[in-house]
Amino acid sequence: MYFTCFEFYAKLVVMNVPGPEELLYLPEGMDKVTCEEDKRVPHCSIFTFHLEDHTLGNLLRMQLLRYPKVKFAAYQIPHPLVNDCILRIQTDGTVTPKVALLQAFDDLRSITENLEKAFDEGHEIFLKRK
Amino acid sequence: MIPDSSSENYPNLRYQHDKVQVNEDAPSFTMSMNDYATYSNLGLLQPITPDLIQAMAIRVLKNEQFDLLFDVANVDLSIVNAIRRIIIAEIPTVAIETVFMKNNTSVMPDEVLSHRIGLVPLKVNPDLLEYRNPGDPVTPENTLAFTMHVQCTNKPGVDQDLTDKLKYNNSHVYSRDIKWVPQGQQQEEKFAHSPPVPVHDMILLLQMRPNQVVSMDMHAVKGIGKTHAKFSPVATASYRLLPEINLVRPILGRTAELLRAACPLNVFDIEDGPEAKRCVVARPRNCSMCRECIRSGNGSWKDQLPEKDREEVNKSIVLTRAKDYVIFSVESTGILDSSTLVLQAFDIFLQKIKQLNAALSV
Repeated sequence: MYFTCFEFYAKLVVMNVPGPEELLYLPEGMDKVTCEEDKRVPHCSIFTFHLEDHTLGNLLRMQLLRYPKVKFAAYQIPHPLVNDCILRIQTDGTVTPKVALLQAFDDLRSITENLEKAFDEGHEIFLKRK
Repeated sequence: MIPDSSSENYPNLRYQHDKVQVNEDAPSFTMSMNDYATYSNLGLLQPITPDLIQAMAIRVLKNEQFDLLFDVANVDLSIVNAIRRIIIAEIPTVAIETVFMKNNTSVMPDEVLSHRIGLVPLKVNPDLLEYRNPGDPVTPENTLAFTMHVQCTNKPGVDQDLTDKLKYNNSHVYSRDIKWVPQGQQQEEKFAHSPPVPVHDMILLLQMRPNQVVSMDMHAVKGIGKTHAKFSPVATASYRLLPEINLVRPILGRTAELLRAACPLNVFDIEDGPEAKRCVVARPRNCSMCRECIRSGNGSWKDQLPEKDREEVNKSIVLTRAKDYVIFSVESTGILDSSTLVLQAFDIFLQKIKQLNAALSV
């Protein structure tokens, strides 16, 4: 073995802090996204994204609010130590919340691809001007 | 477009949608919408259309290796913010994760020193290293080994009134003392064209006195800023809304001179007008929205004006920020180029969307 001190690894004390791996790896057998229907309100679903945070939550919320068919969209991080992002979507019934969410993914993808293109163009123009 | 701040009419909806108005006490119109109906009668909120995509634009203002400044126009802030958060927390870099302290007789406790060493940015291409998952063995593919051994000694025959640096050898321990120890020939070859070193040589880690010694081995792994800030590839990645200083009515004569002098960031200039000297907004981007120009009350620049002019001035200056135009700045720690960071952030963003889309479509 090349590494010195390798044998000490087993002796490292683990405290009751959530390890960094809990932010990185999905436990085996767990789905990235779970979808649950909210029975109290019509056409409403609650999506739970595991290992996601405000980056995704706010992004999806703002995109969903652009659609006339979405009546309600909001997200929540249940606890700072829980790495989940819960998104609640209610539609007017003409589409399901899942369809609206898939539409949001589609639109975000096309926006970002174009933004990346815009960045490349801006970069090129800057280099030319120089 | 800019409403007269003295007017009784409540500013119109379009104005609320486009601007944040910065008042003397607090900003107004800071909210985003809560549902589709908020601005729908203006026709402002459409699901994405080719026109909206066409309107998106990026203008690069400064493009140094580790310092990038660019404008983003007509893009929703949630997307800009996602890019910012990804740059800070989700781009992988390599940092020292484990320190094996062999000897430390300095005054700095082991854990404090270890923490400082972890924060030293390392010039390593993260693509060349694999992630080390929990339980994985330590291999040359996922770990870089470093070592540091420094002993402080007296310099013989030196005047004792001199400073520590001149009296002693190694009284100051710097990041350059961290040395890479290649593990195996394969690793050495892989990193041959750019051997792993700290980005900056002269980061002061600790100070010592004669006969004190620090000696340690270190393991560096690949990680992301989400788990620990030491993995974050940027010093700052931030954006701010474009500041706009609107002089609703001309500011003339002595008032203009006073206003120009009052701004701590030198935003205003004086121009010769047909009647009198006139204040113009020359450098709006300098503005940090400190609100000195609209401040009234004790010690403000308006104190030097006659009472009737103060009223006039209060109505003349309106500060706003544009909600659809941001100034984005990326300051790298020196591990990766700033422009690379932005492009990587786009890639990670798209990858995330694709992954979730696939997970949901099942």
